[in-house]
Amino acid sequence: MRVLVIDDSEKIRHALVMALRQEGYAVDDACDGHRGLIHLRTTEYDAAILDVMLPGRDGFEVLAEARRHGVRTPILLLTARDAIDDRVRGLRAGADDYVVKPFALDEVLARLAAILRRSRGLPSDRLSCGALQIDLGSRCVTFGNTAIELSRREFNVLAHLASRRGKVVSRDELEEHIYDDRSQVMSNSIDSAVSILRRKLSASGCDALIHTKRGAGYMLDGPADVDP
Amino acid sequence: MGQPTSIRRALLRSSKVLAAVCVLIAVAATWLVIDRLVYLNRMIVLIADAGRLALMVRRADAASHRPFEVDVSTARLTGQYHGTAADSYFQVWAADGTTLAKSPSLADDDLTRPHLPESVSGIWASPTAADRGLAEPRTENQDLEVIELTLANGEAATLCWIRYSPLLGPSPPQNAADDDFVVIAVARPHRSDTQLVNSMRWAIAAAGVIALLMFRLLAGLFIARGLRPLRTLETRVASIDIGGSRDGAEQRLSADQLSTETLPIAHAINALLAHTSRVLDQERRFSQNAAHELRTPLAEIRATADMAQRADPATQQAALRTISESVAQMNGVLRTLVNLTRPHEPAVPGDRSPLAIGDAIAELARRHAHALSSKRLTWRVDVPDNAMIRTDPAAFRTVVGNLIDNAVEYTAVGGSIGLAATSDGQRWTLLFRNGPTSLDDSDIHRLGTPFWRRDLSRGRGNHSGLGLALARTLIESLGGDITFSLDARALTVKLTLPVHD
Repeated sequence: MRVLVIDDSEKIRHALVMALRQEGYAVDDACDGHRGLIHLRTTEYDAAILDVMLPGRDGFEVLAEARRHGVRTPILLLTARDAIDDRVRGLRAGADDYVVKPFALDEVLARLAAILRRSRGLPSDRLSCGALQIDLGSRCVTFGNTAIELSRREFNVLAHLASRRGKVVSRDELEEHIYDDRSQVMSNSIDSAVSILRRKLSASGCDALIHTKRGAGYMLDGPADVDP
Repeated sequence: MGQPTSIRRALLRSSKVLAAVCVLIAVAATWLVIDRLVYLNRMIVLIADAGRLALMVRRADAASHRPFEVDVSTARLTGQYHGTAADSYFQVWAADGTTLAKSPSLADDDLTRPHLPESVSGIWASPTAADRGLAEPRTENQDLEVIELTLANGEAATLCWIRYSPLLGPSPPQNAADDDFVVIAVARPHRSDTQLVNSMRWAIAAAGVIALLMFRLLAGLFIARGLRPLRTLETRVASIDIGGSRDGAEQRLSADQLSTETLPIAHAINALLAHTSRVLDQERRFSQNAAHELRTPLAEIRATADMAQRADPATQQAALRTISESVAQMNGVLRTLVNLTRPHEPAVPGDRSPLAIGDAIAELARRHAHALSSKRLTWRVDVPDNAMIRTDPAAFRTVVGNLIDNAVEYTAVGGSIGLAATSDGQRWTLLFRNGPTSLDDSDIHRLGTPFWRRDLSRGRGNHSGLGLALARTLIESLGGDITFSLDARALTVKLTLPVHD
């Protein structure tokens, strides 16, 4: 999952980016409203963290402009302004949640996960496909009672395919949601990740879940879900 | 502070005192006048009685041709004289002192026959009686004598007497001798008058009390009516509840139904409310901005600390440095806030000492040598060698340091910063000019406002927007002034300070 962080404080930006990457997110960052808006309009992020007090264009303007241009990315507002008016203004402008500074990183991460879950229409952090269980919060994958060890890239590919279960996901889309701007993406990175993923799933007894749609991309589909 | 007084009660109290004094004076005056009136009435009655008796004597004399023998009882029966009641006394003497007649009320007693002065002659007669030909007008020497006496029954009484020379026609008879006269004395006890006086006095007292009560009632009504605009104002003022909130201070007093006297008060209160609203608004903005400025480094500290807990030791070391920087930034904001809100301590302690302006500027400029070099800024200083000022050195350095700091920060790369000092003997004028700058005309009036920044970015430095605000506060505390102007994309800051504080 790819997240955008827009904050003019380099220290806060750095802390957020570090924490998000540790959580397995692909993260881009911007230090002002102009750059942030360009990122939002040109890249399909899974979520964005947006500071309100920004140079250039403030967070409210960026938010309103992004929504006006059809950007549906869930956005978490981050600001030192805690007045009710500010919160209401932010939420009415199209924000999905609001966190007041100073914040705990865990809270920001939890709220981010929550708005990601809501944006996908999921009741919990768990995705499933038959006996395959994917816990987005703990980033654990199990098949039946067997745990499957996946790298960050492999988990992100599997989670994204699982979130679009039954739908074909193109390689470009996968790239856009798996890698951030600083990643060195090779032309066969996605194919390689999918190949390794298939092998690990197969080793755990989970076969034929990821289907290749030639010229289109990949699709995760399988038997009906079972109760864990 | 004592207990508040009620205007209405004070007015009522004053009016009551005034009314009581007026009524007392009126009653006392009437009281005294009544005595006099009753006395006069008594005289009139006595004189009238005496006159009637004289008239009867004259008629009896005319009828009988015996001027000195008159049956007063007969006259009384004819209804010409009414002074035969128990409280009326009269006695008629002949010239030789023989009693010719007396009132039945005297019984065996006699009235005191008055001493008759030789000069008295003629008769008394009212002008009306004279006109009717009943008597001659009173002569110049004829007099009426009044004697206060005690009757035989012990009652106090007033006696009035006349000496009467009988006249049978319009002119006195030619043969009338000097001793052809009668003395008529009429007395009236005070008892009957005393009853009248007492009745009248009680009536006056009752009227006074009623007048007082009426005055109290009417005064209450009139005062209440007169104070109605004040009551209206009081109610409206009481309905205002500021309670430290801005919404409370937004309330205003309506001018409806207020008098010309209370309208200025309402306007003054409205002006005060408007001022309070502005102050509360400024305080709210200041608090919000201060909270924002403090929350930002606090958020940096917390986020960095949270991140460090998840990171490796090398990253943790870097995080500690970041936290230290943020603490320093927060401390700077706090120190500036303290100086800004309490300018008299310790930034301006009042300790003045001579300071070489050129040396102070050179010292401050050295701190920015690196920034001047890296931004390729031209630095020009035109300060006389002997430029000395007696001021608070710490405050002066803070002000000039902040101005240089701002100039370095906000002058575009390759720009210039100029500083010149001139004196007229009374004041020093320091001109800071830097440009090009991104400021525009609309920014000039906001310079020096706490927390205002042209560029909201914190990425460019640790500027909190308090430097110029602090400079303004300190300069004003030092008795100086600071102004800003913009010309051809160059900002000029003009600083004036007294040479000797």
